[in-house]
Amino acid sequence: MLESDKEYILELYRAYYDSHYKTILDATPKYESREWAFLTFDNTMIRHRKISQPAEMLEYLLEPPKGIYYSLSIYEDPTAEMQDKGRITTDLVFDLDADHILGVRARKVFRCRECDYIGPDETCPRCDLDAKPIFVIDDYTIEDVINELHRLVKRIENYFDVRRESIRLFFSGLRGFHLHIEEKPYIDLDDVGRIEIKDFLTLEGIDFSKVRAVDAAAVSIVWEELGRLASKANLTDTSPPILKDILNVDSKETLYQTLKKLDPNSSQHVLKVIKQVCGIHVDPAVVTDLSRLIRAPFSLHGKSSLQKAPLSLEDLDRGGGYVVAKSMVFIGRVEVSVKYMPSLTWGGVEYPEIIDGKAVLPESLAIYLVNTGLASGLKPILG
Amino acid sequence: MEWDPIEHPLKWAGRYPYTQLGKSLFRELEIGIEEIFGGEGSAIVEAAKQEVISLIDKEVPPPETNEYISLAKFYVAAMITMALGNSFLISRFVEREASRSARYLSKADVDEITFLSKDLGLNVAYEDGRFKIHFIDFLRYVGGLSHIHWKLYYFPLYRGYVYLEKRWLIRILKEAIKESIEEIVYGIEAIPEEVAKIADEIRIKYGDSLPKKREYADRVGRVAPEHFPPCMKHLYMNIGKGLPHPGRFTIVAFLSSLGYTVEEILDLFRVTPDFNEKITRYQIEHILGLRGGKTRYSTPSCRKIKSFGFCFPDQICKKYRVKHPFQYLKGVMKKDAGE
Repeated sequence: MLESDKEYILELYRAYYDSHYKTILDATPKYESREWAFLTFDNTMIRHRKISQPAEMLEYLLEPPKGIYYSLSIYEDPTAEMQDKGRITTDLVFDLDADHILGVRARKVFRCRECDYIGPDETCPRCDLDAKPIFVIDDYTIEDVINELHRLVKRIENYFDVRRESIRLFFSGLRGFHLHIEEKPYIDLDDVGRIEIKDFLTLEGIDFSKVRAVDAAAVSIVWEELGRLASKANLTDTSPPILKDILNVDSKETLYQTLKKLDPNSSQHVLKVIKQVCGIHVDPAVVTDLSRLIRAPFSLHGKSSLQKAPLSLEDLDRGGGYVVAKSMVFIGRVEVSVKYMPSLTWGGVEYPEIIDGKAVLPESLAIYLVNTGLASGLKPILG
Repeated sequence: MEWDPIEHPLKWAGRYPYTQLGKSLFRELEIGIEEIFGGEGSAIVEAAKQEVISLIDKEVPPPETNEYISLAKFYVAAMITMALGNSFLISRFVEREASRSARYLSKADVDEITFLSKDLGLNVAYEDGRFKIHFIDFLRYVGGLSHIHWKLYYFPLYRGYVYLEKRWLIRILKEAIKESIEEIVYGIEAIPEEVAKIADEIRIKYGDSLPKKREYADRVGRVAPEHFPPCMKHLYMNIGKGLPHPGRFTIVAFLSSLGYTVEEILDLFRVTPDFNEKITRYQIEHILGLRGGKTRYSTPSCRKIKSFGFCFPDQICKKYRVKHPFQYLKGVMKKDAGE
């Protein structure tokens, strides 16, 4: 990254954090009992910090950080070594990320490994070599993650009795959403219980021959997702007969009997399809790791400069563009030299493809392109 | 119901002595050490002693018909077992009591099962011919059971409740019962002189039959320091540097439970900077119940050790969710046996 670009971004982050450090703490329950961590722009992680009062936060913001994180756990001593911290409770957080979701729309750009080519071609036109794909996120990507999020909310509501008012929902700042549950009994779960919850959602390790009853959760989930399974499974003449049988069942009882026939060895492919389509692919580590750190609410994503913004479940109905627009804190416009940008929508506005040219873009989009290596030379628009 | 805890509390407590009701009744009846070890209580002491001996012999004694004795016997047997300080024997005690309860529960009616569940702090109810347990309670106890059969998705789950057959619920209750009994046994901090005497008698008579794994023993048949839990290893290694009072207390109680004699413990303390044989001997003998109030102190639980500030849990502590240093020794052996 150009030194001038780094300076430009640092200045924006500095101004933002000067006025928002209290907001971050206000949005963090029991902030004084959590471990805080700061990722510098030199990619050094400063960990095991405690913030007892807002003024102490300023100390870590003198040089604005690229990322601000806090521990999902509440500790007796957040500054101690990991084994001595004395964990009290741990928020249950589900992270839904575009990377883990099947068939999410994301624009692909290719970078040559040999020359400086960046563009839409999978093979470098100059070197004739396979180029490395870069995924560019836009409103449509977020839109697809929202659909997945609706499935997650419904599932934890129906099965785990998580009340909607107990959910604190945030846009993660780039690829997805963080769904926080910060109340008992969920925060008392140990790691074994959390692994079970993760496996329940992802259907990891499932063997339908072990299902205990016709109304077992495994059967109910597949029953609820039959329509989705039919549309995503791409049935052909050569599809395994048992998959066709599953899609043709007319009752839960028949589904139960059919699923029980799925042999974990000989039906591996069908099981994989069921898991992929009917499971909800939350980031496993965020659910299960009791020492996990997560981006702090209202802090900025290091790559996109978008905020980890709080959202209501109703906000989701307004679409991906609304979510991105709500998370934009740098709303000014800036001139930037773009090597390549695919056509995309950002915060509800469509932008056409740019090939090697100067463009005036919203600051957040320009910063994202600079951080992704697709653009450089941020220049304020004078006057 | 036949076993109504309200109408027949003593009957209930005799059957499930480790429950909140059992504990409070044991306290209310004021069955003090004097009563137990006086003339009237000899039946209780004898029953408790036989219970512990039968654990060593691996024989199951006939069920106790007198509920008063049954209740008191549990607490005395727990003390004797703890005084013997053998982690395998403690496990056998816990397992036997829990299995006994599970047998009662398999014949129990809905009210008895739900009352016991509630007493154990579990959210359990009966609905439309099936039991249901809150999934958080379910998850809390299935960790100790065979993982592959107890996955949450194999069970009906609606609005936070797992629905399951009686026999599956009893399996979960058994885990909760084991935890309650472990809390009682490992929570015993002081061993009355009379109990210590019985433990010594048993140790002399049945010492060779006490369960142990020889490969972990040092030359005189005790667990070698390299297999100690991290807290005890830390204290053992730092005796020479001088330990704070709770540290001395803990390591002395621990070493004594492993069979170290006063002289052997005293020798370990000779290297301390401010060693005074007379004072150290007095302190050790006091902890071992040979002086003063004649109460023998047992090894503190992990919770206590943590509050003293020398808990340094390692992988074994975490894997076996160790609540007491004795459990660690068992964990080490399991690990090496490849279990």
